[in-house]
Amino acid sequence: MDAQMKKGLLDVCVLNILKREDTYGYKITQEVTRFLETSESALYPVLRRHESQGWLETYTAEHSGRLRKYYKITAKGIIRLSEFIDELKEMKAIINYIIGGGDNG
Amino acid sequence: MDDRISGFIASLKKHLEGLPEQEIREAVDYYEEYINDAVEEGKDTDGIFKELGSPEKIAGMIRMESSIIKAQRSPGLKNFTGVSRNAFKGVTTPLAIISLSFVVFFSFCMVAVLFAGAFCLFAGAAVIALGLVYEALRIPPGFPMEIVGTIGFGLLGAGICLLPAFGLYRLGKLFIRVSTQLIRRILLQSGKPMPEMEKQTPSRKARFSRITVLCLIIIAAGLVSIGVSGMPVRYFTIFNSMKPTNIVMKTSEYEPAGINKISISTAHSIIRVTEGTSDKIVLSYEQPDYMDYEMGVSGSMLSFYEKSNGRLALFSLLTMHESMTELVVSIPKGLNPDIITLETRGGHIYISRLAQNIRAETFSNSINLSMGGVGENVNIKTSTWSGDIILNGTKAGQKTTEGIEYYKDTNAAKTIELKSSNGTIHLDLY
Repeated sequence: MDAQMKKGLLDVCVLNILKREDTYGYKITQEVTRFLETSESALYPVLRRHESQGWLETYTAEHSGRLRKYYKITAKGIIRLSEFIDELKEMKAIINYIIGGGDNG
Repeated sequence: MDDRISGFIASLKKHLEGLPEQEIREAVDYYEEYINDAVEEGKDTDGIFKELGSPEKIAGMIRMESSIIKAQRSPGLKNFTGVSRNAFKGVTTPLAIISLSFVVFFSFCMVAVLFAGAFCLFAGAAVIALGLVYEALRIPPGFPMEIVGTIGFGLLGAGICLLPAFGLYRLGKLFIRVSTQLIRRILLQSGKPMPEMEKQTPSRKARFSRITVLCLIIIAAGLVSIGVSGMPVRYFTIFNSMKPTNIVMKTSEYEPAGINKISISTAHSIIRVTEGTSDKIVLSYEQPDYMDYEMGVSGSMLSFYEKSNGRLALFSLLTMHESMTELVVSIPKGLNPDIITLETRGGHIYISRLAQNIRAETFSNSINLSMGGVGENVNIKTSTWSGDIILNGTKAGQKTTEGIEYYKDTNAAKTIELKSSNGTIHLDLY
């Protein structure tokens, strides 16, 4: 897949996962790599960037005797996600056109 | 098993050395937690390490991301260098290395030129502003409008320099942003995922327009101060060699007895030496309101010295242009002074009255000597650097390394010595 496209999809996936529930790094990575073929270590920079953009925030909670960092989507992040999804919808129309054989249906 | 995890973490820490403490801690915490979570899920250490890649690779990615964010936030040469250095560590294919080298080299040159240009303009603005404030402070009291106007010129010049200076500076920064984005693209093509370019924050745009407005305000303030001072009219008159308004006629008469030297020096007034009808030496000077003078007799020497009264800043630049004011020196018939010396920077010199010896020098204008019939009775020494020597209507003299020279030795007692830097010398002797 084109690297730029993958990048954008990675953003949508992360925000979408966090919209469902607050969760932690390992879990997010596992979820994302189910759909997208990407390096496990590629997620950390993405999470950091999302945090610096204000799309998500973090808090720590105890888990079996150690601290775990949880990620939580912000209002700004939700807005960004809906923008991403709108873009994807646009793309979907194009994909349908291409895969549907281009009969101008 | 734990040893291998702590070894992995220690290695990661080592490869992150040099980054801010907080950044290292966050990264290390993240991967420590990640590995713990993976182990808890029942994954084996080899599998986890294989998925994550080497600590070196992880660290490289974090460094790259950190340097790009830094360069995007504050695009300076230092941060840009950081990006390029990290980028080269990350590329492996020859094509990526070649394109990366090209981008880095080209943008470094562009950014250097843009920043150097901005620096020169900033320096220029500072020099103009400080220089003219200094000039303004030297204006004597009594001319408040000229002080306002001179500071106005400083503001105008500084504002005009600052506007493109900020422009170039911002262009350089924009260039860094664009090239870091290009570098990111090249890295993406070579398979290394990188963070998205940060969108320009609106505050940055607002600050830019504030700076532009500030420059425009400075320029406007300069223009207003210059306008109310009335100085442009004065400068315009001088630069176009027009006769200034507000001239006061100053005339002084001196008894010729005992005077055998006359020394005249003007800034840019015309000097005219003639034979007068009066039996006294008469100096008549048209004094503009931005000029001062000293004249008088000391011993056997009559002298006149024209100078600025300090009202107009950068006066020496103005004196390159002649003012159409005249100083007429009329010498009675029969008086034959030992020497007359005439000196002017921007004015013309006209001589139609002989003395024992005459020495005349001008910087940017002509010397005209017209005394028909004395040709055989004087020694002539004339030279001009970039003008011509015209003897009775035709060009004369020899070209030398010093310009054009014309000498004529008649063994007479009288000597006329004329020198001009950029003007033409007219001799009308026969």
